[in-house]
Amino acid sequence: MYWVHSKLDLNMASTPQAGRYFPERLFNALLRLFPAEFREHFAGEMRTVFRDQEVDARAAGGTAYLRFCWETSRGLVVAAFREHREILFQDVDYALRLMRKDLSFTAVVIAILGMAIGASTAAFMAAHAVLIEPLPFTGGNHLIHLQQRRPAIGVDNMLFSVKEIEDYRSQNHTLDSVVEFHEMTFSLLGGNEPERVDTGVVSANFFRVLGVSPLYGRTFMDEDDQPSARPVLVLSYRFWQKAFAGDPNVVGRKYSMNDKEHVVVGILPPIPQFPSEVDVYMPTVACPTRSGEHAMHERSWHMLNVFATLKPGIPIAEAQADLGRIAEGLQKTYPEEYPQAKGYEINLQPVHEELSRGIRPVLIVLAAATGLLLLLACANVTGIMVSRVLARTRELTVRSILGASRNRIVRSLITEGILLAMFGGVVGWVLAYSSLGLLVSFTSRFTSLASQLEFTPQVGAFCFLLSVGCGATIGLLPALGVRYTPLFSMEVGNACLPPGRLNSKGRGFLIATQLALSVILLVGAGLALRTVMQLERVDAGFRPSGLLTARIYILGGKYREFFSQLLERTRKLPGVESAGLASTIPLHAINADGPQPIEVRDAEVAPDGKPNNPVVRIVTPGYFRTLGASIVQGRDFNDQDTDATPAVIVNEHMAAHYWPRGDAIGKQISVSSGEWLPIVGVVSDIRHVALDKEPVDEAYGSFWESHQGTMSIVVRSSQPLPELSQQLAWIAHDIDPTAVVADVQPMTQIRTDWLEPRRTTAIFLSVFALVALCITASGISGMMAVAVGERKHEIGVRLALGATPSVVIRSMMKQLLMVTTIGLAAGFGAAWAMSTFMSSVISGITPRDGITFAVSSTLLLVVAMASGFVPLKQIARLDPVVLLRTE
Amino acid sequence: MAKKRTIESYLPLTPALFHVLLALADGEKHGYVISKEIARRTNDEVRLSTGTLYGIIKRLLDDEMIEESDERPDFSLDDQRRHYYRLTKLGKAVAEAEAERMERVLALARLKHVLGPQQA
Repeated sequence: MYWVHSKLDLNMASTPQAGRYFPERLFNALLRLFPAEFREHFAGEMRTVFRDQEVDARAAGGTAYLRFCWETSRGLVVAAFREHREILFQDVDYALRLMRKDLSFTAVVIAILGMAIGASTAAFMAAHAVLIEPLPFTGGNHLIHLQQRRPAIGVDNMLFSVKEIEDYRSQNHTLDSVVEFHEMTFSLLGGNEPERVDTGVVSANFFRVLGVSPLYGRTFMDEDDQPSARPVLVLSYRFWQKAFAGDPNVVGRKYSMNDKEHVVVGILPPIPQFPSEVDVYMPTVACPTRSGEHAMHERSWHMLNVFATLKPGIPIAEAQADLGRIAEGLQKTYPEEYPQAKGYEINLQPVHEELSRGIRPVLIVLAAATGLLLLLACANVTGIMVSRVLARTRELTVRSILGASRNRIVRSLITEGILLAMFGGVVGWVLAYSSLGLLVSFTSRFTSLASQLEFTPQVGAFCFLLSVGCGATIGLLPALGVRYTPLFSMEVGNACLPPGRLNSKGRGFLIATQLALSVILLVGAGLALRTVMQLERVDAGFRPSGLLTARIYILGGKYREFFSQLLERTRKLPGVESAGLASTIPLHAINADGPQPIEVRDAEVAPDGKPNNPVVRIVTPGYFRTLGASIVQGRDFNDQDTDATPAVIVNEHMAAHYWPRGDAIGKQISVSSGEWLPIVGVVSDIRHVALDKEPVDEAYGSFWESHQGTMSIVVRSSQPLPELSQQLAWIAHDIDPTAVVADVQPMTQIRTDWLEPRRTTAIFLSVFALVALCITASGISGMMAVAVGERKHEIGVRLALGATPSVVIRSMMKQLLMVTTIGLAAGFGAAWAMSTFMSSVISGITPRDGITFAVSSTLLLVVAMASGFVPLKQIARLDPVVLLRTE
Repeated sequence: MAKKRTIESYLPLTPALFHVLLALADGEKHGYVISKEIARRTNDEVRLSTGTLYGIIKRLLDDEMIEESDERPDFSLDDQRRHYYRLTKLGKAVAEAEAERMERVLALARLKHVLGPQQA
């Protein structure tokens, strides 16, 4: 600061030009921190005193001058802060008194803002946890998923073989760690009864790479992944709670799995499991399939998921190029495994993106809906505040005459708005906090990141800032609308601030805004509801009622005998009409089947060059009849369709794809084995993956040709399903005590579970729309009541001159109709423009569904006119003589 | 209507505020003179910056302990930008009450031998 002193011309200090020097410029700048009224009274005088003090300080020397500059600056800042604080206290005290005076107004405003802030906070809480918050793993956001692709045949995520992992691990220059994961289902013996457990088979350093520390015990060490190592297990938190009631003493206990003794060495903390929820984890060496001769040496044994972390500072694009180079090398070295015709690429996908992909569009739509609701609530409360300001014109005028500046009045109105919104924020906070359980349950249907949902300080800060922002808006807009005319000419008795921009046009704008926002919300809710209605009506190709399903796992290789007996004995149960087995049942979370490249003989349609790999599923005779699907051509499988005389059934979609003239029966296709299989039947299309996904080509093989140890059973029965499920489990255990019967549930439940996220999304949007409708209706009603109050004199004159109340009411309704039409048109246009935004959460209808738009607009028009009419009814009761005398 | 405050309700005063009242005890003064006198009488131990001084002046004006004086010096000596302040009856009474309060505290300190006996 000494340079300041050295540059100063002492003689200039008290001259008018002094303001050009830095100290005085700084002083003037700091003076601006004070409230306007304070500056008005004291700024000139303070400047004079400052100049005098500055002359003294300069005379005292450099150090004293620097101290003077510091003390003056600090003094100004502190004093300005104190002045503002004092005004704030006064305004808060005044606002609280006003709020207590009009409790119904206070309660309505707090309730409206509370609902809107609560909904927005809840949406932010979900979006923050799932889309913004990093994964709860060390460097979670740098974790990437490696995917092999065969673009020419449409395969996007071909799993890895052990050999491929070795190549990528040893040849890359950009990855820090490469770990693998695959999921198996094994029987865990040693507890009360055999338990089928989903098992994650992982690299020994899997948990170290993710940075996951155990809750109890330890995770895997490199020694655990040696061929001679003692088999060990780590339990997931969820399984530990479910199967062992959270008993920490389970660490060290021994259980039998795959005919070997396994020791539990650790329990994981309650974190989102990735890539999927499993019950237990084992190192790769303990998995009999993974450590088998075939898996270890066969390059085409694709079964493993691979994840990696990037080396520090390496961007994902560089790693992509690095691994792409390795992929090219593999293609050249092993042309038979990676044929040019199928193409071969490697793709790196950030794990965080992958985990949140399913819920992202839903959360964005919900966040947008809550944002619109918040805007609507602000517009509504602004309207209420406008009415309040109009009712307080006399009081504001008196304050103005007594010396309160415009800024001071605006500031007090903003403080009042913020205070109201802060109370609303508290209500919103409570609502958002109470909805946490509901939100977790909703989000968990889309992503395992749902367990990250919690009320964090960021969520609290968001709720606080939202409250302050809403408060400032609802306080500022009515305050800015008041026009301040010279008041000296007014007599205090009759004085009032003219309404300025708070006139009927301004209020009409607020009504139109609320209507427009309501239209958007109603259309959004309508589209979501219509989607659910459409999906509930979709013919999925099967009849879910009266169907029981279960997943059955057995070991030991005697699959054919086991399932044959199971079917035979189940079919003999009382009330059972039919039963069948399938590798995958429709809409089930576990979809074991995937697309496979096929060759088609005698196709009538020339290949169009696009890859078309039908999904191949395994079923038993009677499965289609049990499910309620129909054989439209040819026949169902029978017991003669064995591996000696194989046959295949295709769905209608595939038959129409290759043989549009309807003569698919007798044609031949070849799946992976290279053997040509005759088509013996065409079955109706079944929507296996999703109700909103159009059927794709599907080919079915007979279980007796290709038996396996994991199948789903479907049973159609007239007897109560709970009893049937017990009998089914008893039969399975009677045939093989180690058999596991899991996921026993009615097919109607599977369909309901599939629809649930869409239904919940529609319910959320509908609740928002209903709240919006109520808020808008109350807003219109309130505004019309204000308009009647304001125009009493005019109404009185018109009634005195002979106009009937119905004429007056009609003219006011016409004005409302005009405002409503403008609002609806604006909302309709906005909803039309934004409808594509909804396309990610709707299906079965177009985003610009005519019925939804028409119903939403009509509903809003009726509600607007009805709510506007209610306060107008009082006109019929008005006495013109009394009105005119009052004026 | 706000309730009328008792003299005691203003006490204790902050040292800076008390010094301003004391500075005005012997006559009306403008801001610069007030700050100068306080610094001089306290051997520069209490120095009021402009912001602090006028914060106090505003508070004293609001509480009606001081008022602006209409009387101005001779035209040749006057500076129109300056405002002169003087104690009101209330201000004088509050200053006296504060001084008495401090005197009682000092007496107690002497009684307890925290301070030595008063010099004659």
